Amino acid sequence: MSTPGGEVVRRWVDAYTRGLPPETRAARRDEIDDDLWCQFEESLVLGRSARSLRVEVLLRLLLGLPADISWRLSQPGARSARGERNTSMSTRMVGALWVVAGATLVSAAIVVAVLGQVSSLGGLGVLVLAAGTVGAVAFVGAVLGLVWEFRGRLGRLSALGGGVAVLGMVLVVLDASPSWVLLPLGSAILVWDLARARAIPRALAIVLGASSIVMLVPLAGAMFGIIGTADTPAQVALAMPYLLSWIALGVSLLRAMPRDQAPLASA
Amino acid sequence: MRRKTGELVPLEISILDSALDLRRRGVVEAHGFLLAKEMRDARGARRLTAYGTLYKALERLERTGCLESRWEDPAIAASDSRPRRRFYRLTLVGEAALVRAKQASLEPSLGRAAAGARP
Repeated sequence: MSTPGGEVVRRWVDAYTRGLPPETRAARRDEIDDDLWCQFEESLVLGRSARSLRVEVLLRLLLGLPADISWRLSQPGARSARGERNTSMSTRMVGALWVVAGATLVSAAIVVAVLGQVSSLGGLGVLVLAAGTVGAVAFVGAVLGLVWEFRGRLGRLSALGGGVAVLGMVLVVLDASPSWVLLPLGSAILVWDLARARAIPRALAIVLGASSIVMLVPLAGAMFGIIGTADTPAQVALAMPYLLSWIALGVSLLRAMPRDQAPLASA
Repeated sequence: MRRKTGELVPLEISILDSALDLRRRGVVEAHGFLLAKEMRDARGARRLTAYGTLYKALERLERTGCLESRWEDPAIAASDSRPRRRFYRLTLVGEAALVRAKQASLEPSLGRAAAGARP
């Protein structure tokens, strides 16, 4: 028996149960397997087409994704071996914003680097612009959310760094090219202060800070005319570690952090 | 929005309702798909409840004592050439919770009706 769309569901179950005790994984997998089997049998009785069944299976999968993720995060296996982890929903939301910001801007940057300027891409260009806008808004929300979440233990330096980063992003959206410098500079200050306050893992702060410097190099080069501004693929390649570090920061916040590093506001 | 402890959400009420309906028809234990099918048919919907939503709710109902579950004998599943099945059974706690939830959902409308009937 092979339920149309069933393989996708099984792969997803396999993915979100990874790391859980074998009996928990087997229980969830078998239950979903039985459900798929019953759904397939019912479709045969009702004479439904394979396409209609596939659509329903995929819809059931998609509509249940938030519940699957929430269920996974509530499982004991979602906690760190280092100890109990903070599971503040607001921290996770900030983490999700970092992931969205990083993922959308990475996608947009790759398309531009490979295919050329947005204006020459037609419909795809509109999508790239939309992704860029979503990424920019998510970044602003992520920075402000991070400062707000850890406000109990951060100094003025974080607020300054956050403000500079947000201003940098706003100016980037307004296409004020030299202000690209503000973005990595502000986020580096913010992350450095967050790490100092033990609000995020130190290794992550080092990666983010280093990638900010790597990103500043081509920007400074472009500003002083050492690197051509038209050399987009090279600039995108150097900016990639910085954008990917946003995703890493987001994943770290989504996974939640050890209780002793949790934001005071939600402790 | 955070729910109050012991409070049932509409999906959980539907699941318990379906389990009760099935029991009245002689089906004392039901697996996930059967409960989803019952809910779909009862509300005249076109689609079944999403996998994640359904099984998360079933797990919570079991954790709160509203349902009990057991895995069927693997030999039966093997003889039918299908995956093994988990059966859920409505408990007394679940029945009581269902009654309370239904009463609670009626109270606001009863209150409004009483207020409207006042001279």
